Amino acid sequence: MIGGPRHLRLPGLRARVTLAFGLVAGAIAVVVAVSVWFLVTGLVTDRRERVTLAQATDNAERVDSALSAVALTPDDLVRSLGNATGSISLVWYERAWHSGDPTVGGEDLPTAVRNGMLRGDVVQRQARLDGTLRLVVGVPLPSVDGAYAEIFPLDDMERTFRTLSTTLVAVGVVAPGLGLLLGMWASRRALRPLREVTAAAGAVAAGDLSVRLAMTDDPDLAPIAASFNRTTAALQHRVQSDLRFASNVSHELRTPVTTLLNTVQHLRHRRAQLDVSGREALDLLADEVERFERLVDDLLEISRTEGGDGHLVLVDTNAAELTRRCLPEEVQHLIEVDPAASALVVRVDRRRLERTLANLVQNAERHGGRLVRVAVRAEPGPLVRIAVEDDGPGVPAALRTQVFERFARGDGQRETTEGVGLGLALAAQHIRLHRGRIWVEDRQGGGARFVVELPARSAP
Amino acid sequence: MLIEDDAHVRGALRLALADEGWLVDEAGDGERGLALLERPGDYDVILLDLRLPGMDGFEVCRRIRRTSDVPVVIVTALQDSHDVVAGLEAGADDYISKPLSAKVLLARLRALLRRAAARDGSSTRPIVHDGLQIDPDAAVVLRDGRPVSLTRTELRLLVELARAAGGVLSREQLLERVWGYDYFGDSRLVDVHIRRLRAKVEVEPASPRHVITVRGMGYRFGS
Repeated sequence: MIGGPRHLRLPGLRARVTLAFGLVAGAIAVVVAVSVWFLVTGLVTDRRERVTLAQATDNAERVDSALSAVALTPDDLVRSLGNATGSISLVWYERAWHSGDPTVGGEDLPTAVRNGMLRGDVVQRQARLDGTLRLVVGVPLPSVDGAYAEIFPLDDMERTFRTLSTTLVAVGVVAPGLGLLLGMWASRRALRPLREVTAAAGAVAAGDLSVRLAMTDDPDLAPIAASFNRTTAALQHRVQSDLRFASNVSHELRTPVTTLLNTVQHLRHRRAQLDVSGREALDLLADEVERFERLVDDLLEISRTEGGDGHLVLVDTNAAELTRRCLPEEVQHLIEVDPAASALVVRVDRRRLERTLANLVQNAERHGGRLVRVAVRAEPGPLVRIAVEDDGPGVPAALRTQVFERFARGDGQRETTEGVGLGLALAAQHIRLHRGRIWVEDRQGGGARFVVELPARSAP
Repeated sequence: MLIEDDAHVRGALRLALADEGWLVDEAGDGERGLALLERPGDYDVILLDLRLPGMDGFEVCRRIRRTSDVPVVIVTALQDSHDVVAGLEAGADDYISKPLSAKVLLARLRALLRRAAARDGSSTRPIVHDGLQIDPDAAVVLRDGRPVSLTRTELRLLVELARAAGGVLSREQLLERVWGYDYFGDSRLVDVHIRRLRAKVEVEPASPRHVITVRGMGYRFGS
């Protein structure tokens, strides 16, 4: 890993969109709730104050005129005032408080109200008496040198406000939640095309260059889809023309190879007539022509298969029998067959599998010192595993994927005159076409073990 | 006879085949090959390259078939290509892909000749089935009394099926018995030859009465 300052990782696009939706919804909810609160409480309070003030003023006038007429004692007067709103009336008259409710006296009035009204002002105040909110109105009665106070209950209003606040808080809590859900849904919808692009790009990376994105009318997406499709089409064209070139080259080479093969064969018939150095030259030539033929063959096959002509001629085959048949006489005694494997059939293109096994055996003989065993085994699945083992230097762990790539070689110490590595690449390609697996591992006791694994089923 | 446009390939094959005791007549194009065929004398086999200047290999093959039942082996560059099927449809008996060495070629030619010898050597009674008369010894096939012209390979295929007396022969068995492939034969050889055979011996090739397909198994003769 490369060191350096660690940056705070930004959350993903979807998380950000979701969060933004949540925050916006929350902010809107708070603003609306606060506005509604102030508007509603302001209006209701204002209205209540005006109504109570009007009622108190009205009552004060009646008290004033009644006291002037001295028709009633102040206490009777106070009791006679209507209290439909649940209000309590108090009168300050001749230096004494007269109350409509025996539990409430003048000393219970808020100081500000008491002082104000006695000073000659009309005063209105909210105050808490006995734990409940009330509205207290004080009106001076200058003509009789007294004052009138009325205490209105506000608990109904308080209850209403409490309900309102609960509702608003609930809205404030729920709205961001809904915003988050909406954001999640919207971002998922909006990013669905991106997921398709990701899947398509993944397919391209895995080697399928024929993927295209569906064309869309969406003006935001169409350019992306179009440029993606253009890019993959260009890539596909490029790869195909490379393959075609390789195919054409090897194709063209087949005719001269035919000439070489047969001329060498003709010369071999006359080997006895040559002197020692002539024979040596002929042997070198024969070996090289044979290798050249194999290379041309492999190259053609690899380009053909990759070029899409990977047509498989599938036949049900006994893996053990196939292995025996496609290996030369001199290695037959190295083949070991697990009896369980004989009871399985694999569905394969025999020519390709034969080629694969022949390549593995040649590889073992050329790079791996000596072929020591070819084991055919059954595995649960059912699967058939064919392992080709040699006692050579083995394949280092770091190179185990690389050896199946084209023109890869083993480590640098190996014989460089032998084996340009198309054989293993071709083997890997063939096995891939069969939906099987191929890999290399260490053989117990030293050497390499190339394993081909194929899906199988029980013989009918 | 070897019909091949590349002089080097022709020369090399002639030399290698001559080492094995074969006499090779060379033709650089189809016209010359057809002219050679008209001269007196019989060829054991014709090796025919499909890519030829002027008249292509398919046309040459069709023209050879008009007058001769000599085995034709086509030489193709691609084993998987449509050329193989098209060449077989044109009447070829077998194919071999480039680069071909005389060694491999000789093995194929020996197989062709071996089955010719087997046909001559074994004696079989004529087989009659539903208007079809097969006389393996005389190499004569009659449909409703009229002779049908079959190539040697087609006749061999028909006789093998008829001899199995209603038993099913798999494609692999047919490849082995008719073409001499021990294991790695191409089943397209069988399928194309069956098609050609039906076109000749069946009254209605689309609903065959003599050469019957057994799905997933192979072919059999008779109802």
